[in-house]
Amino acid sequence: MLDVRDLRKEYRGAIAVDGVSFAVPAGGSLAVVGESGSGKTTCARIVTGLEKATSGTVTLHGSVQMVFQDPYQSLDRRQTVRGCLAEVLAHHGRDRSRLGELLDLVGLDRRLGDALPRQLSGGQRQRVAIARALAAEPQLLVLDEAVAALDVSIQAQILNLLVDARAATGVAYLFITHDLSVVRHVCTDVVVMSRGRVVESGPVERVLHEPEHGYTRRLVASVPRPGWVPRRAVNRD
Amino acid sequence: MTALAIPVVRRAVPFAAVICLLVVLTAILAPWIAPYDPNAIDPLNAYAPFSAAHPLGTDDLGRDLLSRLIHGSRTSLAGPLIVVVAAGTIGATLAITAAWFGGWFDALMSRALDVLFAFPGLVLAITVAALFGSGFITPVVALSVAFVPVIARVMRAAALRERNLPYIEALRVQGFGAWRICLRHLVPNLAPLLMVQAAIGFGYAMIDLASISFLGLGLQPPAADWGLMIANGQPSILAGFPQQSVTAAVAVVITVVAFTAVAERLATRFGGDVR
Amino acid sequence: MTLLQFDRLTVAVSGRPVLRRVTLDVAAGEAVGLVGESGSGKSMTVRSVMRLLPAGATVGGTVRFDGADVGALDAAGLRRMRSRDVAMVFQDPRAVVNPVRTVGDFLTEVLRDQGTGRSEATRRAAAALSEVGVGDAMRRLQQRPYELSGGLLQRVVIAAALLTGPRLILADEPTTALDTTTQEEVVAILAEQRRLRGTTLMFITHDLELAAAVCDRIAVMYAGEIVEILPAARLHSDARHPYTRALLGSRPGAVAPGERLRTVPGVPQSALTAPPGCVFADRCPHAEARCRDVRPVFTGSAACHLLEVL
Repeated sequence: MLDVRDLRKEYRGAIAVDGVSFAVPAGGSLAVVGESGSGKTTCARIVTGLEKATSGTVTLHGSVQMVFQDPYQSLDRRQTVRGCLAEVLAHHGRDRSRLGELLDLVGLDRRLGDALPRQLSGGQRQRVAIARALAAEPQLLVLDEAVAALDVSIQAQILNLLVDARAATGVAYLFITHDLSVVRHVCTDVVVMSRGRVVESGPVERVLHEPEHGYTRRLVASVPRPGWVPRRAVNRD
Repeated sequence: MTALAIPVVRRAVPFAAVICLLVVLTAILAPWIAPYDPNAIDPLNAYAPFSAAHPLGTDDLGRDLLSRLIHGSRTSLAGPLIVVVAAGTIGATLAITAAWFGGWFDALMSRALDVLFAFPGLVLAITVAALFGSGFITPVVALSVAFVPVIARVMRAAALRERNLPYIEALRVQGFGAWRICLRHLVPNLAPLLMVQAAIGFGYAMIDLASISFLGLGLQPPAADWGLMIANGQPSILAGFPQQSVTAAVAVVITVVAFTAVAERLATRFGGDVR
Repeated sequence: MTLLQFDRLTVAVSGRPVLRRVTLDVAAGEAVGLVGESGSGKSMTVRSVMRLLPAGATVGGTVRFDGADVGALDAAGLRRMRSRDVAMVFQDPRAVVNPVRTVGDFLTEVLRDQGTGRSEATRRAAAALSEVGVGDAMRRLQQRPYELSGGLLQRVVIAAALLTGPRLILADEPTTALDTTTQEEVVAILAEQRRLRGTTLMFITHDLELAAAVCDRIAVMYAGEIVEILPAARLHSDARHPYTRALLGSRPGAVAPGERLRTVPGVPQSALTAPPGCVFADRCPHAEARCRDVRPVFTGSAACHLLEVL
């Protein structure tokens, strides 16, 4: 459904994305993992049309929506939850009565409809942002570090919600993240990026358990887990 | 660091707000609350001292100074009000357009505003008034133009910050048009800052317009205008009757200080260094 | 020997409670991890050691460093403690290092202030950089912060923290802003240097697994209170407080892929909004009537009414 071919993006001579290709099937879920500066966010922004690629093609059958990292800035601070969702529903010619269903879908108390963003917690705001993105019933949802800024217990709630929402609506996910444990939980396929290039890709199970590329191996090894002993790499400067 | 850092000044802000309200009410209700016709001449009663009949006395032509001060508040407030509304509207529009489109348009406009900014507003207004004639309109228009870059520069920085927030990007991904996003989301969120800018500009515009009137390039006699009253009272000072200049000057100072104090309080409330 | 002791430390800012009766002993040479979510008071706890509390804060109880009440120190004593005995490492290294001065200036400033000669200070700064794994130290000393990556700069900050030979390091989420591979490197260096020098460490993080890897003991905080203290090695086997278990269970890695994460309903509370009884009562799956009304006493390893039952 989404097919990205040979994407390339340059900023004033610096190459941010260099020959990246990946695909997301209808209803699928693909993670793009990498560290800061790997080009993963640039890819997401090109897919959603926020930026233009220098070269390469993005083929999308259906519509795309996006959820951003910072729940504190991704909602208009003057708009109530209801106002925010109603505006989007009206814009896409959807019936206003879907508003209640949307709130239910993301697990938000309907009574919070009249709340302003500042009256909501980070997790609640992220639920509103997800509801807004799902309002137009897109075929693809791009989640750019959508749980990274949340507390652990809230992150778990939102991850469950994302799993449920995909089951309920059949929307596909393009999950941009640096957190491998999140990938393992939500996605079926993964693309590992480093310095603008794809270094490894495949099913999550295979890539995270039998990583082939040295960078992926190092990434997997650096995740804190029971019995983990942090090690100093030999001079990586 | 503003004067608001001093506790006494901060506590005086509600008092300043009351003064602002009183001045505005005075201007609106002038014809009903002024005890006399501000232009009624009574030569036999010139230079009358303070009395129950004339609380502030009379001027060289026997006109009641309180009535002139009350009527003078109308042009003295209307001038700066027009300046900040006009400059605010134009400045904010330019700023948001520049921030939204960026690129060469932004660069061109920023440079143009820098040039205009380098020109002192008061000098510009005086020059224009001298060239195109004095009166109420000419200095107000000239000063409005001079105030545009002051407001536009602050608003452009704020609009640029706002435009890059994820909520605006979310609206773009939703497929909303630039026009709608700007009008429905960007402008309302920038409005408090614009209000603060206008309130601060109001005080400056008032002093500038009073100066222009004082120099004889603004309103002409016999109009009741505070700047003009300060100028016209000058000969009387030598004659030993300073009331006219002093009361008008005090009115200007109190009003400017009150408006600026309230504006700075709003500024600290709605965030950001605004000057 | 106890180096740092929190004794019923209670902090309120403008009348709002932030910390409630925090009691914790940290032995010399020990590493203790403070783990909790936002609003739990973990930052405020370590800041109270340096008396870096916000204006309008009122403090009850005591913090003792090496036997001396920190709250009773005079200005000179406080300065001595801050510059020689205790060092802090913050989340964002860029906020700590003066952006227009060189790395060398940053590293030698305290040494020079303490009377060390210029060349000696530079030599020691270069040595400190090498110890934290920064290669080509002499060139790095000439560079300015913007020329260094976040991970590299955080190592510079750690080098600076170690330079004066402090007895205690307070690290407040020192790797949260870093990539995971860089995080591994930075915590490895921190742990290694600490063991080498016998420095005491308080390590703040929201990541239980990370704390377990770096520390000897872990104190779990919630809503301004310490709810459980346990040895890092027995984190998974011994955790008994429902909140600690909830934290462990809600990490995506805790369950098999495809399984639902065990979540805690509601949002993290702060000391201000927490219920009058047990601070976790309104989110706890096991809560009984007494949990909501009676504050549990910290006994043994946790503050919970239901330790016998669970």
